[in-house]
Amino acid sequence: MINRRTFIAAIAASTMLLGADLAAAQEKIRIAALSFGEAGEYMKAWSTEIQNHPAVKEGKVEITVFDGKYDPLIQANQIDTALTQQFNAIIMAPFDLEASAPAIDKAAEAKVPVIVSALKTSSKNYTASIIVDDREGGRIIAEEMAKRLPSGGNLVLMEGPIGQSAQIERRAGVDAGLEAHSNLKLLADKSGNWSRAEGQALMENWLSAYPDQINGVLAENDEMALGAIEAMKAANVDLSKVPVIAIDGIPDAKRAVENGEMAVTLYKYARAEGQGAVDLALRQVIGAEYKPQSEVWNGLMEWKDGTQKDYVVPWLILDKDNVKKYM
Amino acid sequence: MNANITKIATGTPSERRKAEITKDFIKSFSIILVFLAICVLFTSLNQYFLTWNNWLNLLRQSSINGILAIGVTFVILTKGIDLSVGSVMALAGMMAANLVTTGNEHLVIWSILAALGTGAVVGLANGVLIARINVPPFVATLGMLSMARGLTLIYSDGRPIANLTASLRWIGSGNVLGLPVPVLIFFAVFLIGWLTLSRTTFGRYVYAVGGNEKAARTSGISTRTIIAATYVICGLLAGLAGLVLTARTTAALPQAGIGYELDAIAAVVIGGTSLSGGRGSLVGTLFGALIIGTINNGMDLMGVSSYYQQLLKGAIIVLAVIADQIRK
Repeated sequence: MINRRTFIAAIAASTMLLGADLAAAQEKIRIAALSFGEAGEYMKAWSTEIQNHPAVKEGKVEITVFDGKYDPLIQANQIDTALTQQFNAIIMAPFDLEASAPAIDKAAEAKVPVIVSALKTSSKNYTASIIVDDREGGRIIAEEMAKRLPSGGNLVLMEGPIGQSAQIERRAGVDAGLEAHSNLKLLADKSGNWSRAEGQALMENWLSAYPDQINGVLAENDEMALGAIEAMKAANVDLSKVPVIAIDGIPDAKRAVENGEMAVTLYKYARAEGQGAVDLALRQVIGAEYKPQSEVWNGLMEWKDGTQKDYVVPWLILDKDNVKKYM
Repeated sequence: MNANITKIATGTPSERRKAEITKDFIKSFSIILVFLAICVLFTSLNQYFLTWNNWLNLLRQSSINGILAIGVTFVILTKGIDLSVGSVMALAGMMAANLVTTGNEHLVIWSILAALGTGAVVGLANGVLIARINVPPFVATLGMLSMARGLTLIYSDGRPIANLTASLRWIGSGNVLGLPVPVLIFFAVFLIGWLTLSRTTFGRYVYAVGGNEKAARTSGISTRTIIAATYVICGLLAGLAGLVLTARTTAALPQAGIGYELDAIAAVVIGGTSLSGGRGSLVGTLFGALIIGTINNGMDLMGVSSYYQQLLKGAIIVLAVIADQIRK
C-alpha cells in the first residue's frame, strides 16, 4: 500500500517539476493571464503574444497563463488562486459575460488591477478593457456579404456559444447590418460553439434542409466557417459563387482566403488584445512614467496615457487582395 | 475480502462493526498519508500554498467535485457507475435558477428543493432503468447524460439564466463562521453519507450487494431496491452540486458541468473504492476529492501548464485502478 501511494506522489512531483518554473526571481513584476481556453487557436495566439511582449522577453515581467478550459467556474477558481498568489495584476479573457462578474468584483475589492481582454464582462469594476468591437465586426461581415450578393439571397449564420459576449455583440451587429439590406434573408441560424466540427455538421444539415437555396454563409468565427467549407466541398458547392465570411483571421482561415475558399475574414489582432493588455497592466503597476512597449500602440491604437477605461481594437478586413500581406 | 463481506452481511453486530472499522481505517490511513505527502511537496515548492487563504480556496474548489464524488461512491460500491452526473448538475442548476431570477423571485428554499428534486427524479430514472429493466449502468447513464443535457438545452433554449437573487448567490459565495458555504455543505454531505454507509443497515446492504450480489439476494436483501436507491442518492447529490455550481458562477449555464463526471469518478477511484464493487469508503472519496483539488490548486499556483496537469491527472487515475487490480 505504501508502494502505490507514494508512487502516485512521486509521479506528481516529477510531472510538476517538468512544467513548473522553480527559479522565480523576486523582483519581477508578476502578471496572471487568465485565458478562457487554451485548446482553441485564437486564445493560444493570445497567450503566446502576451508571453512575447517585449517586457516579458527582457525578463522584467513574469507571466503565468491559467487555462480556463471554457468553464466559468474554473475561471472563478483561478482568480481566487491568483489573488492568493498576490500577483501584481490580472489580465482576463472572461468566458461568460455574467459568470465572470463576481470574480472580477472580488479582484477589484482586493485592489488588484484587472485588465479585461478579448471578451466582455458584465462587471463594471474592471480597471481597463481592450477588446475588439464585436458589434462592429458583426456589422462589417454583413456589409461584406451584401457587397458580394448585390442582387440579394438567402444566408445562414453560425453563432458562438449563446450568452458569451462575442456572440451577443456579433449577432447584434449582423442583425443591424442585414437590416440595411432587405434583399438578404436569414434562412437559419444556430450556435456552432466556436467549433470546426460542429460547424461542419451544421452545414451538412443545412445543405440537406435547403438544397441549392443557400447563397451565402456567415459565421461568427473562423473555426466554424472552416468546418462549413469542408461540408460545402464535400457537397460540391461552388465556393466562388457562395461566399463564406467569418471573423478572427486565424492562420487556417487566411490560407482559405488565399486559395479562394473563404471570401473574407476579419482579422482579430491577438497581439493588440494580448500585448496591449500587458501594457495597460504595467501602466497600473508601474505608474504614469510607464511607456508602452508593444508595437500595437504605434499607429494601430492610441495610448491616451494608458488610463482610459475601454480601448477598442480595430478590425482588419482580409480578402483575396490583401491577405498575403498578413500571412 | 469475501470473508469480510460475509461478516458484514451476516456476522454478529460487534463482528460487523469491527470489520467495518478495520477496513475503513486501513484505507483512510494510506490515503491520508498520500494527501499529506502532496501537501508537504507543494508547501516546499510554493510560499503561498500553506496560507489560510489558499486552504479556504482549495477546500471551496474541491467542494463541488466532492459532493458529486460522494454520490458516485454509493453507485460504484454496488458495482455500478453514473456518467450522467454532469448533465444532471446543469439541469438541476437550471431548474433552481429559474425560480430566483429578478422578475421571478421565490424563496431560495424552493430553489434548493427544485435542484434536489430534479436530481432525485433523474436518479430514480437511472435506478429503474438499471435495477428493474436491467440496462447496464454504463449504457443507461450514458444515455441519461445526453437526455439530461438535451432537456437542459431545451428548457433554457440554449441561453444562460443570470440575475439570480442574493440569497441564492450566498450559497456560492457566503461564509459561516469564516468557512465558505460550499465547504460546509460538502462536509455535511460527507458526514451524513459516512454515517449512512458505516452505521445503518442500508449502508451494510450497499456493501453486501456490491461485494456479492447473488449472496446478498439469497440472504434476503432486496438488491434491486438497494441499487435503485444508490442512483437516487447519486442524482440527489448531483442536483445539490448543480445548485452550488450555479450559485458560484451566479448564472445557470446550459453547458455547465460538461466532463465533471470524470473528476468525480477519479476522486472515488483514487480514494480506493473499487470499480468492481463492495470495497471502499467515503473517507477515501473525501481525500480523493481533496487530492484532486490540491493537485489542481497546487499546479495552478506553480504555473504548470494545463496540458501537463491533464497528463498528471490521467496518470494518477490509471495508477489507482492498476493498484486496485493488483490488490485483487
